[in-house]
Amino acid sequence: MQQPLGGNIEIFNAKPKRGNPLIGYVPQRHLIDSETNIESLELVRLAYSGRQWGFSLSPQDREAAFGAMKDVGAEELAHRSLNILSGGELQRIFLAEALVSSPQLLLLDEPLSNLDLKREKDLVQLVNNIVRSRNVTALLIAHNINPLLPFLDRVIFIANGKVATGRPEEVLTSESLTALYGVPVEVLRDSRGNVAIIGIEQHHGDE
Amino acid sequence: MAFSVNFVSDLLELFRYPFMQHAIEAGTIVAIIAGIVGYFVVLRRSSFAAHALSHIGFAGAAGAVLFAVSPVYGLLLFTGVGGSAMAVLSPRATNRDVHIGTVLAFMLGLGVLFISLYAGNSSQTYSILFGQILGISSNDVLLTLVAGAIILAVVAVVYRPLLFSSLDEDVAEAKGMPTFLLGIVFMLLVAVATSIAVQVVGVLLIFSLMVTPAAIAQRLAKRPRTAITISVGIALVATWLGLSVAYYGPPYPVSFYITTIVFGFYLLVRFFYRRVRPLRMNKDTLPET
Repeated sequence: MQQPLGGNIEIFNAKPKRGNPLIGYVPQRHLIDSETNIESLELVRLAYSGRQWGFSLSPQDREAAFGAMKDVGAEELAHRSLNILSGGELQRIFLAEALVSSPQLLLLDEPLSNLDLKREKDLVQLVNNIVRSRNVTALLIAHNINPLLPFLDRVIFIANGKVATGRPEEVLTSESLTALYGVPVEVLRDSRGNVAIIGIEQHHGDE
Repeated sequence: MAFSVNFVSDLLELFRYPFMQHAIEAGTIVAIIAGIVGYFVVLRRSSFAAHALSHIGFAGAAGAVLFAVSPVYGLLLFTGVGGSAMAVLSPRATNRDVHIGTVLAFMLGLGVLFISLYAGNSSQTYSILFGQILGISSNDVLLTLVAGAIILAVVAVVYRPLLFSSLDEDVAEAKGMPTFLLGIVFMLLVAVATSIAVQVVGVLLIFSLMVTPAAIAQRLAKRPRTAITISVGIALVATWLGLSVAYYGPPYPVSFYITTIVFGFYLLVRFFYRRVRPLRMNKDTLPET
């Protein structure tokens, strides 16, 4: 784990450490080999009880796994093999894998990369549903904030070694983002109240 | 040897000589162990490491012969050290093959040196390379049994963590699981399994018991325990059938029969068995060609 260069990090009133059961983590890339023919239920069950030594899988982890898969709308994928699932389906399985141990904080590392527009929207909606129904916090890292805008509670913008943090309506203004990025950024609102953030291209003639 | 009418007495005939009893006993233990450990080898995509370990074992066996010790001790020592070194030097799969290959070439070089220093006949070298299941002593059987029991006990203890960290190492690490330690334990399991399997198929043919049955099983079953059962089953059938054919049929090397039977299973499953895939096809679910 990376150590901070200065200051202190505390999470849930303790120093960060590996294996905190209050945190569920979904890495950016899972390496699932195309030959790995294992049903997805097995992965989620192992995420629940894989830390324990010994041989058996119990009915308890089966129940927990089915519960988590139900919450991400992946019950029908339970007996499918991981290597035949699509990117969007896998994403839901990995979400269930993180949820199965009932964490209070979900860490999602760029969950939207490699998803098309429709799946992107579905996933954001799904994470929002889980956050509200399971009462967990989701910390979601993304390069493109637009698909997330309707559901954000707080934003942390990091660019050029600078940080802007706060409620979306405070941070997401053309002025603050332009200052942060050092290039012109515009925050647009359409007729239905949807917000979109775009970087404005600088024409070479303008220099 | 011709078949008589009585099938039972034919089967019992197999056990008539002590060398056949020893072969069947050791072969059975090795098949069970190789089938189980092989599943994790395939799941962790470590088949090159398993292959390399057996070759490293060759250097150890050749060294043991040089010092007039039983080859199996040389095998255990070299594969144990080599396996731990691999796990420590490249804990992550990235670029692992290059490190393994580098260590492997050096160790094989040592093996060549040991053979050239050994003035005796080369039949021991030959049996290390290709297996000598019909030359197993009752002591060897006992050693195989003890090693096999230890492997079974260790696998029973680390089963769930090892399975999870093999399947999803990043998340296992984030969950605070000892993935580094599990990597070493896994390599030691492979090392011991390889050392006892060498008696049956030799270092060059280890793939046929350690990797191929598990790879076939993984195509057939998507639950680990089912796959392990199938993997053990294939290894057992190949070993028993190989011994029987060599005993009753043309007296060619048993390891030749075992590798051929395993390869037959592989061809059968590879070309005549298609996994049922959902009809829905998009770019992520296209079957590999």
